Amino acid sequence: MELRSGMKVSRPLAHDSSNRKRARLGDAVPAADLCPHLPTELLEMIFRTLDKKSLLRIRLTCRRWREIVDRKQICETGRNLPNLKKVYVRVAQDGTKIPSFLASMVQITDLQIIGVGSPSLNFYGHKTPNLRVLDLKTFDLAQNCLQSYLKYCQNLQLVGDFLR
Amino acid sequence: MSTIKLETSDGVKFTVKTQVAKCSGTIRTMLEDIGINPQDGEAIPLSNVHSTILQKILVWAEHHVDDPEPPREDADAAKRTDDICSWDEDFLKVDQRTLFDVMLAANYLDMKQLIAVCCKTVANMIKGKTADQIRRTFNIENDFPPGEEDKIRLRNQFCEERSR
Repeated sequence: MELRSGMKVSRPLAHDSSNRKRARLGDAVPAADLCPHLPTELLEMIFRTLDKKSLLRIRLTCRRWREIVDRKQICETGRNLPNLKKVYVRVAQDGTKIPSFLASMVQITDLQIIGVGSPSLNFYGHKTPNLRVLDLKTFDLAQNCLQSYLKYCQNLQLVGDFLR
Repeated sequence: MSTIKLETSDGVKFTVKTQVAKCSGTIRTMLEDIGINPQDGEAIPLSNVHSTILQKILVWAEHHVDDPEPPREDADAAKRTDDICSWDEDFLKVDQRTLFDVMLAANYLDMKQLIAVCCKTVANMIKGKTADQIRRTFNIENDFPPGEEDKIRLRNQFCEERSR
């Protein structure tokens, strides 16, 4: 490895707030606000190695961390419940995020999702081959998005409320 | 020996052994799938990585370049946090900011082993601490509405007693 000389860092790091996260080693900028905002996938990975007691304490630190721990718990519970057939989900205001734990639940036959927006369903579409009933209450769903999703649901018998 | 050039967010160019650079899944994809030709002498832009962090990451990659491919999704190994090799342990004895910057860069560069070892290091910083201590360690703001924390604490207590 070689660091080419003659190419110096020219940006004024310390004064540029947008560059705070990229501050140089040894800078006096504290690590503040970096950790709580780590991407969810990294936090999930960190939490995966924690024992139950630590997880309970994580739940007490702040909202976001609690949500991540709880979602992980739901995922595992979902995977361990082979008899769980019906799922009703209310998604957050923006409606664009369908809970990812649904992806691991091949056993589901009935799925009702309540929310607003246009969710991207093909994300877990092929993972719910046993779906019989799909009810997308209050969703604005583009026709082509729905079609691509339904392709994967060979056993679907009833679809409701998606076109108002 | 073939080398390639990498350019960091702050415009610093690194000349790196191709084999070392390929520790990064992101760079591997760029070279193999997208077909960027390193012989052209053009540097691969790494717009999310600062030179100080890339330099550190390259030290890690250089050390681990001959590591055998890790076994796929070993659930037990992923859960353990006491299996960090002493070289990595020393490597990650840095201030928190640097640790998180390395972790974020490793995530961007798709370096699974480095991400894993960073996550384990952070997990070890969490273990054995109370919620308050965790908050202080990572500068997390307690954003629960008044009373909410007590409610969670009560529920946690119930969970802890049940799991005993």
